[in-house]
Amino acid sequence: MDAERPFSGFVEVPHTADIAIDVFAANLPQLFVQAAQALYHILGIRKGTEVQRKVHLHLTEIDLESLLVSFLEELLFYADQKAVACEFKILVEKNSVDAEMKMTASLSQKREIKAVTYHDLLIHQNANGYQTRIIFDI
Amino acid sequence: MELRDIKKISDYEWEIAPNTRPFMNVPVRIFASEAMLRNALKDRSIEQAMQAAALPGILQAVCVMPDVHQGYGFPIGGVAATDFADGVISPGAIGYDINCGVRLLAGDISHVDAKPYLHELAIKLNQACPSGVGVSGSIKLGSKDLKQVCLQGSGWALMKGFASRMDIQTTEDQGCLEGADPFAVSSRAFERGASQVGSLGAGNHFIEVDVVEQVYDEEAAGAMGLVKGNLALQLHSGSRGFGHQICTDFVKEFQKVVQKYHIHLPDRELVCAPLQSSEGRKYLAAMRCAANYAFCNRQILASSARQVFEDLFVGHYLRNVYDLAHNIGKIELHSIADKKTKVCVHRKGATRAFPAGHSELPEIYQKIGQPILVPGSMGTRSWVLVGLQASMTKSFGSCSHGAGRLLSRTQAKKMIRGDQLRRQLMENGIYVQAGSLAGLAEEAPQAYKDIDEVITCIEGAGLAKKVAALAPLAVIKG
Repeated sequence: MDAERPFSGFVEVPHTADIAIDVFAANLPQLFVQAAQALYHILGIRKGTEVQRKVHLHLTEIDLESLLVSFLEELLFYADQKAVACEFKILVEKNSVDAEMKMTASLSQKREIKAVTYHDLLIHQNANGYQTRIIFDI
Repeated sequence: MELRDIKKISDYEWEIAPNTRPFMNVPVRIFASEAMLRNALKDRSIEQAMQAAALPGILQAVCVMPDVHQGYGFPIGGVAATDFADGVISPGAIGYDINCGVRLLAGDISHVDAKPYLHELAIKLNQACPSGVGVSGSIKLGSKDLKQVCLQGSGWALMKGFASRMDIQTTEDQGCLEGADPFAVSSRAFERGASQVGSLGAGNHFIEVDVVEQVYDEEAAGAMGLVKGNLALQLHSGSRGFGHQICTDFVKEFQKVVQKYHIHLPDRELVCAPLQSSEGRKYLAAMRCAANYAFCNRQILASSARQVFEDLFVGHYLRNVYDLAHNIGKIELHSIADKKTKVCVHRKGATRAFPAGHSELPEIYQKIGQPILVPGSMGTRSWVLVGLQASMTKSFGSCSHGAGRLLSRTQAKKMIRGDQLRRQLMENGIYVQAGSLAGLAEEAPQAYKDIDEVITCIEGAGLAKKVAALAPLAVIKG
């Protein structure tokens, strides 16, 4: 494992027009959580303190990459409705994701994301876990 | 890809052979000076253009404009035409902000007379035209009206009193693409779109008050109502969350569609469907709904801006010069190997540029050609051009859409502080109303290519010619 790199997280990488984020985690559920945190980071969301409701997502897609895009698109839609996930319980399988999420209010938001793209999207597994690069259309 | 791998056709035209990559079906034709091409080679835009050449049924060449920059799957500043009979349509080659576009209005008041009121004008435009992250539009539509917007575009605004007949005539496709079908649109898109009609949005969307700094073609400028020294107003916006959701829905659905039709592509964001398939037809119908939504959105914004202008400058008016799309898919007739062929032209970060005499142009522009609006970056000049005949043979009647990004948003924010930029613009006589200083820094002039160089390339390639240059006086950004 790379001693310089934390166990899981995300980091922005250069992109001329949009925003590209490298996400890495020890396992797939954590990769999805970190990708969600990256999305909220780009949006510049200020979260509320009180849990307002629970949301359950069940997504089925043709592969892991499509699941990740669909999962983030769902969060983007909720963010549009001023709701942000603050706690995640996620089960990822080859073609499905089940996510239990506690939602809080989005008090403010600094940026809009038009979409989560499939461009160059590939989830890699290595000795440390999983990593991927996601390009967000801004 | 290196410069030496690209064949020079002329000082402003370059070509990448179709055998450069195994997946390419046609060459890539680049309209740029050597300096601008070198810039384009610094990011992945040219590689992305080569990947776009893999689209099934693609004809002639992928065209790349001088303002090209890296996008996702398909470069921004790219044009690709596919055969309507046996080609495909690709949502990613049109973009998420379907019918993002620009409108230009010409004022009949001089800069000299308007100067004392410019700050007030900027403030009032900012108040009248909702902008910024998550901000709703000036009107909220029920589902019945929203479906009518999908079907009628700017025609809905005309019916409701937000437009004049002249506005409609001077909008690309009269502000309405035929063949839109609201039943092809998801309920989620309707949910996102209901509250956003008449809103500018954030990011690079803007309203800009300009002065007509220089006129290069008196006849064309006269036909457009552009007079040297008078005010003009530009407006840049698109289909908001409605269009974003439609593109998202179909890019997701088409991940399976490409498997069904055994289409192999070098990038998943290029996913597509045959134009003659039920899936392709459904996307086309939905995309047209978003295009019509965007036409209507810019019309409502223009109506609000016009109200402010005419209240402040009593007795003066703002005339619509033109409204055009720069992220769109259009079914058009083009001459391919001397044969009229029905094609789907994907323009992503590229505008239509039809020449004089084209049947699609309104009567007032028949003699001069289609007005082309090429905004510069904030603080720099913008250009008004007209399309030339060569654009029909070289670029499927297409041209540049702007300056094109040079720096990433992060680089821009590292180099430029929003408050300093605002002060600097003010010192140069440009009033700024911005929702976010960080957002302002991201859109700084230094983050963009030199617009004058872009125009030199476009003229050099013979795609369009100069009509007028506009200099900014006030900028409103979300």
